[in-house]
Amino acid sequence: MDTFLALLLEQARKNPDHPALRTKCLGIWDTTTWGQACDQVSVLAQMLSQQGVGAGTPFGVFGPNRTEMYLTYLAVHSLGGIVVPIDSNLFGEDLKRQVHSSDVEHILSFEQQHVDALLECGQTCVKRILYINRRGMENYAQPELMSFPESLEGIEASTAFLEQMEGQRDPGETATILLTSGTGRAERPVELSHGALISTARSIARRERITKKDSLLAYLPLSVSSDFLFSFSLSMVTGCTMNCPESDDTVLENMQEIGPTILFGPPYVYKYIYTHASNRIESAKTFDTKIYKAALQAVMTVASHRAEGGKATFTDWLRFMFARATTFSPFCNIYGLSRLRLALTGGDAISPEVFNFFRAIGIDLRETYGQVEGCACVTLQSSEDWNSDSVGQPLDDTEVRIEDGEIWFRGPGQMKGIYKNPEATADSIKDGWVRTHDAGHLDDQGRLHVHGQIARTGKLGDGGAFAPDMLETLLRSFEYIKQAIVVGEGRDYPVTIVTVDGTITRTWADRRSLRYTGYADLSAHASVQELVREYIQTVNERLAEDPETSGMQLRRFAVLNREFMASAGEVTPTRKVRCHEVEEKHRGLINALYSDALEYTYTDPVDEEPYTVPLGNV
Amino acid sequence: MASGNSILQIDDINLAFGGVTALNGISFDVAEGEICAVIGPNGAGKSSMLNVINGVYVPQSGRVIFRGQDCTQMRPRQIAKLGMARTFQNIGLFQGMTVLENILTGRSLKIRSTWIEQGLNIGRARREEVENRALVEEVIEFLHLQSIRKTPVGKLPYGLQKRVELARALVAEPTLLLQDEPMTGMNLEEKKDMSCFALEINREYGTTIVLIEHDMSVVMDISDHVVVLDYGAKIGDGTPDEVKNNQEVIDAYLGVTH
Repeated sequence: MDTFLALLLEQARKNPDHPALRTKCLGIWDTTTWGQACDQVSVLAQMLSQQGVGAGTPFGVFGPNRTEMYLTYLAVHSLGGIVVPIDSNLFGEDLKRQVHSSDVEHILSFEQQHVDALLECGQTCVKRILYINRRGMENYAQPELMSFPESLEGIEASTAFLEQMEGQRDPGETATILLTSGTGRAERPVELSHGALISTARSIARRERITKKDSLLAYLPLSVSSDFLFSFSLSMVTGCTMNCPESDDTVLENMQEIGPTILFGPPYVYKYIYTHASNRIESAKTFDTKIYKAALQAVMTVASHRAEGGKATFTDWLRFMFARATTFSPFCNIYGLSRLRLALTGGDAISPEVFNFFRAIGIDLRETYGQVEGCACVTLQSSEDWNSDSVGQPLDDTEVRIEDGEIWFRGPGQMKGIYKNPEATADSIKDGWVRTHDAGHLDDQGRLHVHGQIARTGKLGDGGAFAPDMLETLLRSFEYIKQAIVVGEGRDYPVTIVTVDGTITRTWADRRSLRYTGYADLSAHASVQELVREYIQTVNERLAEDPETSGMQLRRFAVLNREFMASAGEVTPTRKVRCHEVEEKHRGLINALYSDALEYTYTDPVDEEPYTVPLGNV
Repeated sequence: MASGNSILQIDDINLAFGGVTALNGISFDVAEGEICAVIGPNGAGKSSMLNVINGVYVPQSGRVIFRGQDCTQMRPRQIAKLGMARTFQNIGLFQGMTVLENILTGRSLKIRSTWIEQGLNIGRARREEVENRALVEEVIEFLHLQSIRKTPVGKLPYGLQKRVELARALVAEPTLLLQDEPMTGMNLEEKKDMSCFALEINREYGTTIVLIEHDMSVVMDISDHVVVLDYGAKIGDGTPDEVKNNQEVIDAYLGVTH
């Protein structure tokens, strides 16, 4: 029973009229019920079967989150094929590499832009490109192209076909190949089986009592493992509704319309909401700001009592209830969080300020820890755990152990291996345990604490401990700082390159009537430098309190002329900074930070314009 | 996309305001399906030309023939009904209304139901409402306006307002689209987007476009046909390459003593 096809047939049998998927299209939420989904999948599967998709065929899915995309997942699965989701923003060499790394022969793409990107790759192994949106496609004559809607014409829905296929499926079959994020090491294609994904999703659903009445938002790029798990797999296992936003720009608005009960988001999503709110408060009237600040104070007091395990006084508690009812209930409503009963985050460390904020205002935010190798989720924090350091306890039947400071895990959710790479597989799986390349420790309650990537934790030049991941999380806690990387391995002292959050820094600058022309100009402004310097000083003070970390105080910093960008390969699709790439790309700037120079001039390869970045001493 | 049949013929137009001659014997043809740019220095009479085409100004002499019909004496509303839409140099949107409402106003000429039907939401009114909204949504998707559908136009930056204005012109399903300086005041990125939209509209809907533009690189990139005006007279007419090498045009742009 542990295949996605079996789950689909079960949902169609049990809840044929319950909404399975919704996609906002031309301003309307188009709903597909489980019954309709089953019929459509049967049509799709027959078409794909005619096209030559069969057991073990890697099938690329290249486009935004939409009903058709997820239904195609199921159709491919019903034939025993392997779904290879591709980030819809990829192009050029990156796209070619991904297509090649998993031997994709058939691709479903969304529109002209995706078809163009694929055709520009030149000679690849792709034999067939299907496209959904016909706009602008009239003049394409390439033989491998085919219109998706046309290809389905004349095929009758047949549940019998799916049932016949179900007999041939096996939970051990590979369901998908997903790329690792490539933050530490090179990207690698990871094979995940139906069984692994389904048992991981079941384990979460059981623990959090997720049912078909729940509703979630599928907005992360398809290529991200958390989308496969927390949207697709979770919905298949529980029968809950998956909602696909209209476009990348409308996610917040669509969230408000849907009011999801479950939300998974990498830390940047929560930081975004947090910053967005602070920004609006910053530009609000003085009276409103005062009320908001007082309410925040009230909820934060009780939250910090809980985090420390203490008890709040009766008056504190009264204030807390009042603030939640009057200020934060409407707040949640504005952001579409009122119905949210489970908010999950993972993939990167969330800053304590953001975590505490959401917990305090009444959002049950939980941290998860996992990697693609473990179906994106290995541990899950419990609701009672108010400590943002911990990522919680392992899922059912999953074990975590620490060896030489490195985290290893094993359980039903572990990967089959690295696609067509036995050596890498052997390196990753030893005696049934999967390595994570992350450092961490387990506490006395069995909760995992993650310290960061092993490869990055090292020593400073004087032999003192150096934990860049921890420093970066601290820096990012400041709402004006969007991204940060810390360098210092083998050097005398650590330095940092940060980028500021454009929206909130602009509001801040406008209130102070600063003059600037654009982002680059603003980031180099003396006042912004001072703002960042002051914050780094407070970080240093915190570091100085603990003798273990006092050697890690930051001495110099630079505020970059632009944010780290996905198109430049500097961040992953979930906006985690690829430290290695950034260090390589900004080698000159880093060297300048280790000199006495007060500014650094370079030509930015992104727009080929010259920029002068001021270098600050803390 | 140009097919060779002319959709718009401008025949010896003379327009004067009191003693000032704005247009002096201008004639040119716009072929069906082409993008035609009207360029010229400040005060050359470009906007007046556009105003004559869609009936805002009535010329003292000469004829404007649109799809075989002489529309020189027609009012703008009648001309719009023939399938001509335009955008303005100084954005002409309802600042207090949302993007969606503004774009819907572009459908007003196509509405057949009476106000009684609309007030009671019965009969044709209901069906039309749905049809119009569907068409508007398609244009919203085409011009990527989804995220600002419900934002009041007054709150939007200039570049987006221009795009909303274009959307409003498009929902009228024009065969000829007039754009008065669609890219002034835009940054490079916005200009690029706008040029792409012009090309896509032209290719996708087969709409003929007549536009006034200052940015030479844009004009040379997207237009099939360029008409150059200077002091109310036509001094150049041809493909972008022909115009670029025309001595009179070079003089007008670089400036020689008159």
